[in-house]
Amino acid sequence: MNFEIPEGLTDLLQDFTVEVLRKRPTDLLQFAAQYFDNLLEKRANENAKNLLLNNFNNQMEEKQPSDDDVYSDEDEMGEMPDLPKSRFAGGGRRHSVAAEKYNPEEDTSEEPAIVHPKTDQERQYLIRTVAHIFIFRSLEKKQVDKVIDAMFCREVEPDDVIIEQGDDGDNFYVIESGKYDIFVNKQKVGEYDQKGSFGELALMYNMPRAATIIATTQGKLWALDRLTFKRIVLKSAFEKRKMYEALLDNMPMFKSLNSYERMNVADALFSKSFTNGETIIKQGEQAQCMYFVEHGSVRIVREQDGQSKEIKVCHKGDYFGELALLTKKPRAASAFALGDDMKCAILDVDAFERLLGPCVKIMQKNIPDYEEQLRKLFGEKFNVADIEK
Amino acid sequence: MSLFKKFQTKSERLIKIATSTLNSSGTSSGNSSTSSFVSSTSNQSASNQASSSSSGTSIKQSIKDTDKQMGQSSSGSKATPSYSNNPNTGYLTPEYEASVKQFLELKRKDFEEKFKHGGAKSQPNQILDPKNVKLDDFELDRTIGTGSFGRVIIVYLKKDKTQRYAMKMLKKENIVKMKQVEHTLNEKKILSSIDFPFIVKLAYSFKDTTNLYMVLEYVSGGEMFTHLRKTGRYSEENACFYAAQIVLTFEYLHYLNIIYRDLKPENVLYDPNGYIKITDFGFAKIIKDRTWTLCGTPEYLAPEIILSRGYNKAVDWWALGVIIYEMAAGYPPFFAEQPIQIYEKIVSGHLRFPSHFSVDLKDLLKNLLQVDLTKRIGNLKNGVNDVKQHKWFHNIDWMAIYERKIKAPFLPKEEYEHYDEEPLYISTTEKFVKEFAEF
Repeated sequence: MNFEIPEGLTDLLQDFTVEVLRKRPTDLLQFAAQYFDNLLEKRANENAKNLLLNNFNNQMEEKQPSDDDVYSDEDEMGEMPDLPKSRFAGGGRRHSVAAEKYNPEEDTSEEPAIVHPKTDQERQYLIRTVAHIFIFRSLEKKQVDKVIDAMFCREVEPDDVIIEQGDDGDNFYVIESGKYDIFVNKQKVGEYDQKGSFGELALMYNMPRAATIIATTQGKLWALDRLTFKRIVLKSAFEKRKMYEALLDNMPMFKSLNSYERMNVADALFSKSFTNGETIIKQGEQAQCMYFVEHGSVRIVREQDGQSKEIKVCHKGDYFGELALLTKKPRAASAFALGDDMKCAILDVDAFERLLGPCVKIMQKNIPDYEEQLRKLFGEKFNVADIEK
Repeated sequence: MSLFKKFQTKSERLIKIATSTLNSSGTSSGNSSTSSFVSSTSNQSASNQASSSSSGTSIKQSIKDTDKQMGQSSSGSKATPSYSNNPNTGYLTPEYEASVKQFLELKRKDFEEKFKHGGAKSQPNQILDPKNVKLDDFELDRTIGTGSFGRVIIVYLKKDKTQRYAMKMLKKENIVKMKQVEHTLNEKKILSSIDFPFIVKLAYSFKDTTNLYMVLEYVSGGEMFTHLRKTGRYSEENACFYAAQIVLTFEYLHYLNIIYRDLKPENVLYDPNGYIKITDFGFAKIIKDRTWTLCGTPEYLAPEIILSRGYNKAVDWWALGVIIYEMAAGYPPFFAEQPIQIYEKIVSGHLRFPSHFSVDLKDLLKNLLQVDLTKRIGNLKNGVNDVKQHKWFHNIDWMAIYERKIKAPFLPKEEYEHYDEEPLYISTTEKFVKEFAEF
């Protein structure tokens, strides 16, 4: 059996779950039907838009002068797609941007994490709101928690100017309550009512604000400044890397990779947590990944002729699940998390084949050991490469 | 077999060029012998240009020729079956690769030596004493560009008015305010230590109480940006000619462990022969394995920069994908009204092509604009060779591009934008001495 996870399933279900948690519907089934219906409709609209774009491109092709004409000085700008004026108007030269230098490798300050206390309700609200913003979407739960901790409250009165067009960008804001008007070049272009967020570009680098935001009622905002955000995100990215690299450095089989190759492996790893007893690998299934134990332990168990026997226990720094990737056979055994807070770094099969070429020989050397182990446990001659189910 | 021999002689030529460069710049005393490399190349390209109708071949012509040769090699000699699928692999024989490596190794040593001493002590063809250059040595002509730190001005040497340069003038105060001191120091140190045909050369640098000055080779054909916008878009064949030069430049820079980080048509200049010169090394940096600071130009930022994950040289390969797309389409792959919307598109992984893009081009771009770093071409085990061997480049004779022997698609007229002039202000008191001590 093949349990390949279709592309997009995880995201789809995740988004749906977030929506359920947010809206707390009484009739879950009704809500789900409605939710997925909306998605379908949205996709149909997108397709229509793409069709327009494609037609447009086709027209472009027809109107394109031959190569001999390309270098004539005629102004052919008319055939360009509808490019945004703000970045292509006039000379349209695009300016470089840069953030302040921050190097997590040099940041040895053991400053305590910034925590501005919040009620559970406030936390939940913030988590739900930032989940929709792409800069936060790729953060792990732990990072999101730290970022939420660091957000500080700002109470506002009517006519308070929250940000002013042209000013330095410092904070990102989430609206908890209140109404706000948006102005660009002194003209009102929109408003926020009790929800939304603005100024996320300020989390990336300092750019003059593109709009002015003024409160029209009393309200409450949550703010986050760039340096705090970068420190949290970059430092944890760095620490995670360091941890992956240490994990790989300690594995004899990676000795045959040079540091650049090891770095690429580290880039391809992603972490996943498991609870006590949770199945990591199921015997007989098709193999999608191999695993490196990052934290905690894992029981490897094989079932055969109605009896189930523990083959071994893997600890931090061990790896497992590579056998089926080497033999291209179904999983020869199951793996279960031992204890809560078990964490694995995972390498998927594509990356395995792309990046671990030089290690394959070393890993293959393990095969006789596995056969020997199984022979001891089950008392017969095993050829691991031939194991079916 | 004859084809193979041709490659071999090419490799030898490469080594010869490398050694001659080293001999010329290594002695660094500024006498006549030191200028041999620079003047000989410029003579060569000048003569290429002059005789282009007789001896120079057009790109189309040379492509046809290559095809013919390849046809012969694959049908004629069955002894080399490894060439049969991709005619271009002929150029990347182990011998070729080894000689490129040897060449780059020499270049790296040269760079490291200069860099260690804070840049080359002098450059070939220097008329002024590099240690004692001042603003007064130059006659200022006109402003040809402005930026957030200062401006670029065409200048003439008072001593020899035939010597024209582009002088980049940076206000120390602005650099400090924008927190870009380190980037500026990097720029000067790296620019004065590197040496490559497709990178603009730094002739002199100096500072006064108020400004920093980098006196650069004047590249008269204007920016690719201006020309591309005027033209609409480039044919794939022409885009390929420019892209190949960028590929070689990145191969060189990355071998020196330098990432460039600001590729865009605005930073690509055309020389009178229609070849490119990459300028603006404000974000260039020597990196060991990775770096963290966000910088670049919104449309050209790689997803890993946007997502603050730490990043490496692979971001330059991403940017190569963006510029190729922009050359061939006339607009970049990810655009929107606001930078934040551009970023959202970049990290989404969705990529759409105009219908006129060829299959090979689409394949190359899918592999360069690949969000997954471990799949991005240029960043894989074979490094730059995966890019050089990609089908879209299969008509490129890399050696001939390096030697600037192929006739460029067009020869630019002298071109510059018009900017308002501003009076120069030089303070009587010295500013930010400590910050820019290294400059």
